[in-house]
Amino acid sequence: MHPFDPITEDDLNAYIDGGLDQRRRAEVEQWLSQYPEEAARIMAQLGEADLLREGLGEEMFAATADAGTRHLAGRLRQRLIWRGVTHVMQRAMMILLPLAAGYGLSWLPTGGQQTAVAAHIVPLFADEAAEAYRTAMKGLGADRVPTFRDTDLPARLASVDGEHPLPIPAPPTQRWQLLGAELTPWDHGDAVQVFWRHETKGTVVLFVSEDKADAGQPALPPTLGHTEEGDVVYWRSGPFVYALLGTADTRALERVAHLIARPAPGK
Amino acid sequence: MLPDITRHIPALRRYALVLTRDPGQVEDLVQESLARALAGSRSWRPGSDLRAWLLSITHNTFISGWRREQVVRTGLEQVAETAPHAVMAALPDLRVEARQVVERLLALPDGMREILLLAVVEEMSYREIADMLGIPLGTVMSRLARARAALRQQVDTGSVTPESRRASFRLVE
Repeated sequence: MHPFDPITEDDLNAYIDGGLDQRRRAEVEQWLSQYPEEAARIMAQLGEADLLREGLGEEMFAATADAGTRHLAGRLRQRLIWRGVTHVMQRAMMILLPLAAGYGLSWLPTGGQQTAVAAHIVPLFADEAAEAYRTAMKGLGADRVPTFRDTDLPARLASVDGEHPLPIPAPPTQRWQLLGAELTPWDHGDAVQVFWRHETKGTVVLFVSEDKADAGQPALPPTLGHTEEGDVVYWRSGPFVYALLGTADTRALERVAHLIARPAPGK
Repeated sequence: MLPDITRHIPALRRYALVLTRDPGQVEDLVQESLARALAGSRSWRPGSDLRAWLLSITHNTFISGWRREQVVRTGLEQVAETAPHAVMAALPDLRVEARQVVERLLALPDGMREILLLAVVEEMSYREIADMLGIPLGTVMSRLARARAALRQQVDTGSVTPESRRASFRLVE
């Protein structure tokens, strides 16, 4: 030990916590060998650290999480995976956009187009749509049909922002009956949930929002994904994002999505 | 590597217990923390330390009025006064020595318990703790030294005293 580099209390704490390099560790041990009382104190504190690790160890807190914790952990995992994916995509886009601009790449949906099948992780808005759907369905009766007093609400909600009206599509065919709509908050603002009912196919919920935070994302055709609430078909058109799910089967969801998916105005 | 939240749930529960000293509130605080993490997922940098991010959210959730809200909600004014031995009753059987030292940890004041847990049980570096709690490195080291001294002092002066059980003041640096 250098005479101008004395052992301090911080060194002793770092020694207990394994935060010293090999050289300094050896110096502390040499110093402790000269001060038996200090050595006894440090040994006692090392023993206490071991007992704390034993008393608060992993097995003491590893009990199966309750359903609420599991649900939140699952959603957060999905969200963070998506964050990772978008992080990589954003970096890739910075490289690819200048190249793509030269070829005028764009996407326009057509009626006969097949639904793409997503990898396992659905985007944030689709995950939020599933959560909003779950909330909306909570407490409903066995028929799982929500009731609304005001069926004009979708039109009024769509025009809340006069300069940037939200393009909410009409029901795809006459057999789909409008039940109503409601506002629902999500991470990137407010969304409108529109509920349609078909006498044989069931109820579907269309989640529509303007994604101001990720407005620069490229268009996305209707894509089939899976959530805890079942299958979801989602797409992006300009700054607007859509997600469709409900009690209807997957084929019905895909068909409805293709009928109502439209490019953003002016695109 | 894909983020695995469930792997960090024990650490969140452990930290929630040390913060609240109330086993009945551990799961609530963990769930509130996860909900806030969901809402603030944009603050997570892919590839960064997920456990430290989650623990910091739990910490911020707790100090941002969560405890006060719980007291108002449940009407349990005695929450802050929960005795360590009562907390320990909720944990599975421990060896006597381990039980005693955990009781002594839980009797330490706010600001000491957390740092001792993070340094010793979570094995975080002082720099990681400072970053997570948003305090200077020197403060981490001084609090840790005082926490260890206080833990030792309880041995020298006998078991956990009523005064030290209360220990509800916060350290001000």
